[in-house]
Amino acid sequence: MISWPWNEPKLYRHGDLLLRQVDEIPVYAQQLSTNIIAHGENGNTHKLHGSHQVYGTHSSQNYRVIEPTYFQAKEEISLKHEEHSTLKISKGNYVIVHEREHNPFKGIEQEVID
Amino acid sequence: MISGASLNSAEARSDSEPCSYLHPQKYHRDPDTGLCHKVNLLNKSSTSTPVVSYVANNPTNTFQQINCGEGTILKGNSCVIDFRHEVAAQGQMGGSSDTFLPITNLFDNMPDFPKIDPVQIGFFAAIFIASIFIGRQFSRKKRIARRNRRFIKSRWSITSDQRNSNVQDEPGILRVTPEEYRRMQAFERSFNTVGKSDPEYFLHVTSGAKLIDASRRGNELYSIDTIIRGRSLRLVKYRDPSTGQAYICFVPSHTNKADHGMAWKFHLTPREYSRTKGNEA
Repeated sequence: MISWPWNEPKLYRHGDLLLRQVDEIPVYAQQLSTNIIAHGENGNTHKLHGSHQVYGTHSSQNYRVIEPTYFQAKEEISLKHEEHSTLKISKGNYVIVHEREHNPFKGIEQEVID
Repeated sequence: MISGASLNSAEARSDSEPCSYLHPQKYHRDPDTGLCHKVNLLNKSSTSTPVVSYVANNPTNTFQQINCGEGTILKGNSCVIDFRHEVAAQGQMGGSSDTFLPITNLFDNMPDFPKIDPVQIGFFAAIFIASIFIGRQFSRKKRIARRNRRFIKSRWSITSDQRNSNVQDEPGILRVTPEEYRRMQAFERSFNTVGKSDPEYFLHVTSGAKLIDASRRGNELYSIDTIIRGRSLRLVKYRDPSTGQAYICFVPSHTNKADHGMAWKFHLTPREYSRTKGNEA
């Protein structure tokens, strides 16, 4: 099946985050009353500005922690960070993907936190 | 005490005797006067002449009589020391010096050594060589080498994805030598300090990384092969789209393109990563 460019999911990169457009948000995701979708090591945050809803799932590191995993942009919104430029995000549902890195000495992959 | 008269009578020699038994060629007896004169040794022909003349003038002499002196025999025209005579004299302990024993007689009374069959010698030699060969084959060094070969062979046949990581047994376990472990520790320290603060300096000065690939988007892929034997560590250098600051990050060792490494970082395919261009901040 041919995937036309205008039908392909949108992809945004914001620092160490990647936002991938998805068709729908899983039902097991819980609504979170926050506009922060990621925290940095230096206290910097990736914040959504505009009409949106953030959803969270259990963290893979700690099951008791629910971290933001999805968000719904009800209109074109902006994503801001202290160190990065503001990114305009079109309407839709998105999954938040964190950057990863390889540890050749331990043979594992780990999340990058900037 | 011996008187001088007795000495003179003891040393008196007849005309048929040579002037000197020890050095018969050094002295020559004058046939007219009967006195002995020293012969110039540089002239060989003159030295041999007296002996020849002595022999020629005494045709009735036997072997003993034509002997140049005690302990010497005549060979050709010159007198040489006869070792057979000395050996025979020692064997008889004071017997007549006229008795000669052939040299071969000295070994007649030697005890017989046991005769060894050559086939038997070959058999034992073969056993000896075989034992050395078997011992070397099963030596500790060979056993370790064989075990390592089997280990490396099995590692290579597990997955094609881990071809370069033949020292990694399973995820999370890395088998290295003590020297490699020390290098890894130093490298990790350097990466966490210099690499994070000044990636360019770390790549080009500290680590000795080699550039493998550079993409149009400014990403670069480097390889470091000097830390762990048989493993290539891959580092991708990229810049933040907003700030332009450079970062370095390890990617799997099978990565061959810089953009592929960046795509791996964001859980994307290379084609998907190419679509992020223009949507970065």
